Amino acid sequence: MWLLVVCFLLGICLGISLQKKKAFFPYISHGTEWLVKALLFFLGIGLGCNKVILANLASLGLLSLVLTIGAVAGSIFFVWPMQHILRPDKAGHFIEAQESNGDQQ
Amino acid sequence: MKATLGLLFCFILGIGVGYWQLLPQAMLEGDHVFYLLCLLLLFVGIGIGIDTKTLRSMAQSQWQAMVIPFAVGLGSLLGSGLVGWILPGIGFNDGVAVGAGFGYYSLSSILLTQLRGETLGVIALLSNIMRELLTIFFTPYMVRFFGPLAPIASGGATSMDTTLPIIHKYVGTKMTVVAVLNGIVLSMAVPFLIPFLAG
Repeated sequence: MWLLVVCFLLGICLGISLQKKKAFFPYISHGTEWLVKALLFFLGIGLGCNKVILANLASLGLLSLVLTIGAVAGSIFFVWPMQHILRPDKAGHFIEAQESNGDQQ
Repeated sequence: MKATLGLLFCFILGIGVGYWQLLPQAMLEGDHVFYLLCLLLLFVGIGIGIDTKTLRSMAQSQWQAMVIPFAVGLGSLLGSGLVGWILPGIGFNDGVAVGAGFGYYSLSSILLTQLRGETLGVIALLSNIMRELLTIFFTPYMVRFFGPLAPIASGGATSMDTTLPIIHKYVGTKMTVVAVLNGIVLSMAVPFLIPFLAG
């Protein structure tokens, strides 16, 4: 598990050290894309081999939809009060609500 | 959308190959998928580190803008955890782990497959794709009923790329910076949070 986090952190450090070598940019982007495709392909193979999961794909889809609704509702619920406290101006900078109310008065 | 379809094609192709057993069993055994995943995280890290614009926009952002991704993240984890706790066969921990994908379906599904097995990996893939689709289809209603931050919260990690055009269209330029920052912070959090929560 920690090897994954170490790889990620190592990547950030490596990326910072490569910032001036712009020739690397497309290779990194294409490399990431192909790795994701390969790994999703392997995930698909694992799923294809597992007849139990395949048989329950519809119920897993329904379960996923309910989890998605929970995640979306939770994040909107936590963010909703913030638009009353922090109000962005036209440039996207935040103004404290009290301060802006004071300006209007 | 084209990129999403490309990834879905690879996934469906894999299901076909696995179902009809078109690859020799020896190729499917071993730790090669784990090493590929390590390589992917290395590449994702390089992509973040090499992108000076991303790092600069994070350094220059106001503290208020940084609060939003934290609220989105916390809400997402608690929301999916609570639903997972109620649903049979999922549980709070697995619900939280799926919610920690924040819409980053490729990485979260691959990580959860490695750490918790194929069933949760598939749920993470479907759930996070649905999150992106819900944002694309329901942004106008979210803005109308819950305000301009709602589609940014819903989009999660995708608010900096795939759902940004629709957010920009219905929320306007003033929230674009917030949406991008939200996406950057949440995308960076996924490789840390999932191994921590599901490991």
